[in-house]
Amino acid sequence: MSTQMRYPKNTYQDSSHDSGEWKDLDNILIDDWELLACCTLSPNQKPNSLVVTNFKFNIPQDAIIHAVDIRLDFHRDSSQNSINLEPPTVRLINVKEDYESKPLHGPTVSPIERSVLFDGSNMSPAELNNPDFGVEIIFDENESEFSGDLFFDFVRISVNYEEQRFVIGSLNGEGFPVKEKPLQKAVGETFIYTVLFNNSNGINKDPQDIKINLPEGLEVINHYFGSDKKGKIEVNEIDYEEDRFDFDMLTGEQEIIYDDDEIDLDTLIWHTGVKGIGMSRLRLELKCVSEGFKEISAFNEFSGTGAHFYVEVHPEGYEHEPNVYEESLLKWKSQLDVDEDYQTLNKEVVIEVNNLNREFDKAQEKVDNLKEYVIKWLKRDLKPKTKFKALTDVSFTINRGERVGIIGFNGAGKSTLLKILSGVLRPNSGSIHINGKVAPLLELGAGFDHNYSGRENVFLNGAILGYSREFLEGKYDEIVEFSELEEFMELPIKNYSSGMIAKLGFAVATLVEPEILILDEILSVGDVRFQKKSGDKLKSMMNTGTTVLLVSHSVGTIRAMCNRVIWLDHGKIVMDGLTKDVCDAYVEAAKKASDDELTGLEI
Amino acid sequence: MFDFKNHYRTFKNYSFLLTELIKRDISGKYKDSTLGLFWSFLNPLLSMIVLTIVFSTFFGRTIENFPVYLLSGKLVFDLFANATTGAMDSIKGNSEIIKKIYVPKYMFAVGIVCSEFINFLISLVVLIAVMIVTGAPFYWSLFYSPIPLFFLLLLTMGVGLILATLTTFFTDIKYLYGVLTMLLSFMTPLFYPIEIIPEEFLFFFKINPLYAAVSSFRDIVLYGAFPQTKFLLYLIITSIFALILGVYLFYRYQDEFVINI
Repeated sequence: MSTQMRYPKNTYQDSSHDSGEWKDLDNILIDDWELLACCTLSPNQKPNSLVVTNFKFNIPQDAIIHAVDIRLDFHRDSSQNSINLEPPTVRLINVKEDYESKPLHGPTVSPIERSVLFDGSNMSPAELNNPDFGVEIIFDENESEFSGDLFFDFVRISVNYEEQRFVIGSLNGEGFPVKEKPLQKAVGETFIYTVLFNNSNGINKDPQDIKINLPEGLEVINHYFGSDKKGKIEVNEIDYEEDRFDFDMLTGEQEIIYDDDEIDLDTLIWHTGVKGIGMSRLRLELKCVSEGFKEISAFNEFSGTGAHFYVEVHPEGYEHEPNVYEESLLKWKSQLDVDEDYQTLNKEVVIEVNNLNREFDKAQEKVDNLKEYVIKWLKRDLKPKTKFKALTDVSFTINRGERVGIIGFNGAGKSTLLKILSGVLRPNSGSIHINGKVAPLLELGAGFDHNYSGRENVFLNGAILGYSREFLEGKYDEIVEFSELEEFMELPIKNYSSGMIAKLGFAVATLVEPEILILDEILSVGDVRFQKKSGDKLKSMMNTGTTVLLVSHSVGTIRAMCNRVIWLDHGKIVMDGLTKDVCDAYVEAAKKASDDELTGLEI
Repeated sequence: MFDFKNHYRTFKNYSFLLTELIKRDISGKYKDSTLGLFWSFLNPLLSMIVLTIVFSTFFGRTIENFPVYLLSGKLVFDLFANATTGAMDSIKGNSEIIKKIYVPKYMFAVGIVCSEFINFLISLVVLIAVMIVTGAPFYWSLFYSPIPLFFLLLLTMGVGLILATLTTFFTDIKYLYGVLTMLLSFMTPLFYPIEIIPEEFLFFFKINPLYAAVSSFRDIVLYGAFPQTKFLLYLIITSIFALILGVYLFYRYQDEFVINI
């Protein structure tokens, strides 16, 4: 999978007679979180719609587009009484089909990257390479009774596409022992080496040969082909020219076109069984015959050499580090699939949720003032409220160190669950036991006071998060250093740029290494450099055994980050299990789901 | 049913938040003015001067030391009015935080009541200054003043919690309460002597706990006596009742705040 990320080179606004004019529009061409385009809106006024074009993509002509990921930032000014807008409509222009979607949230005070994702399977590289290809952002009118400023920071587009036809990899992408950390073995011992061959776009249907480069001193004892042949379909049943793009390699069974795998054990050439889109797996059980540092790899003429596998063979009777071997699975840690990883973790329960229920009143019946309430009461018009169940009998336990993703279509109850877990909402019934300090990274800089200096806000925001004065004083220097705002700490933050506020918010929110981290999307803040820094910080938090709960609309993010996934639908748990299984089933179900449910989700 | 130990622990954990909120409320009160905290002195002083000029011609003969009479009542009343109004807005005003992060919600109401009380203590300097200037005597009874002030604080807290709960469900309570405070200010003898009220209406004044609070405070400051038992007792009973009702309502409905703000 390759990705091209681009910023637009052209921008203009589409003004109608009474909509708000954008000032400094060219600032949205730069992704610096400092220079912004601004539009002042009075009540019921719309901002001009924005058009950005000329992205200068150069996607290879034979690539298959998977997804077009649009990131943008818009936010409102920080005064108490400000504007209120629905999320804007984001539309692709100068493409054959109609693509239209909305980010999940309208403008808030914090500048946070919004995302809109389009399925790219019906787009062609030529369309995207065209300089006229662009994005139109159409805002609704300001619904608030107040005037205020709407800011716009940047638009950038990432196109995910498949260019390479074949991929050789390890089964899981991570499980191979690297050169710096080879698998430790003694003479006479055996281990498993797995190669995955992935024909990812099915353009080339010729069966492929893969040569296994096995060094001296390793011997093949056994071999297995680990292919999924459940949905084996004969090649001639499928009209490739018509149907090719409907296939999704990730969803598995149906479209695998398979012959039998074969391997010649003398030459170690593997004739892969897969003929179209699909995967073949070869698992070799190898025995260490002689001592030394060994490197195993696989080679195919189109895809080249895949990941290298390193093993260090010690003299017979070599004592291994005791914790390297996973007794429960009878495997070496470096041999484990990512999915298997968490099964070996400590089984200490950190979150236990039993039969959680939460109902809400249907919004349209809400009576929010006394006058209306009394009138309705007098007219005997106070209907018994109809409820809808946001969560029904949700139960699960999460062990220490698990990284759990929560997926589901819009309205499935994901954010309700997250709010309950972070203590903001109470369930109507059911119990929650949380064992450890929770850091909810739902909103950065909640409760910042704009008349306060940066320094005072660190303490205010820290206090809101429940930290003590002594703790914050001890961590203060660290926060300042991380936020890179040393010179500005004594200034009121109303003079800060939105990027600076986001940096400070991130620095305060992540100042502890919490035992449980609750994330609503992976937060990325600040300029590109700070984004990397904040991303690294989150990763390091996750790697220290922190239990992570991540709600994301991107299945890709979930696959990359989580080892377990809970799928919610209409408030109930549909599936709870290994990332791959749940994500595959979810993607399959997403094909049948209505557009409404899918708005803003990335499949 | 009510887990005191647990609540105490939560309160302790968030005690720093309370001090930060009090700090924010106090510094935020006059944030855009150049005189800043000095307004806490200037505000009661100026309004006292204006009201004294206007009303002392009417009541100056019946009331001894009109400025001190006025100021001692007005400070007490303003504490109640400002703190309850502040507490009423405290939940909605901090909705951005409440919706995003778990925080004990009563902290916002308690914070504003405490900061108004501190503001009141600062304004007492003005009262003392006016007493010195007008040559009013300082009685030993001043040492009793924490008693009515403590119960006034409880009353304020209770009413504040009730209002905070109600406004999250009924937005127009805010406007109703604005009218009610104005009415209440006339129903409390701040700038007139209670003697001018005809006998048949006196009942309506006597049920006003603020009348009891103001009278108790004046007995101490102005007349050098322990507060009259009937006033003090009425203040104690109403304040405890208001506090219990406030705490009950707040706890009963606080979980629903999030979806209503």
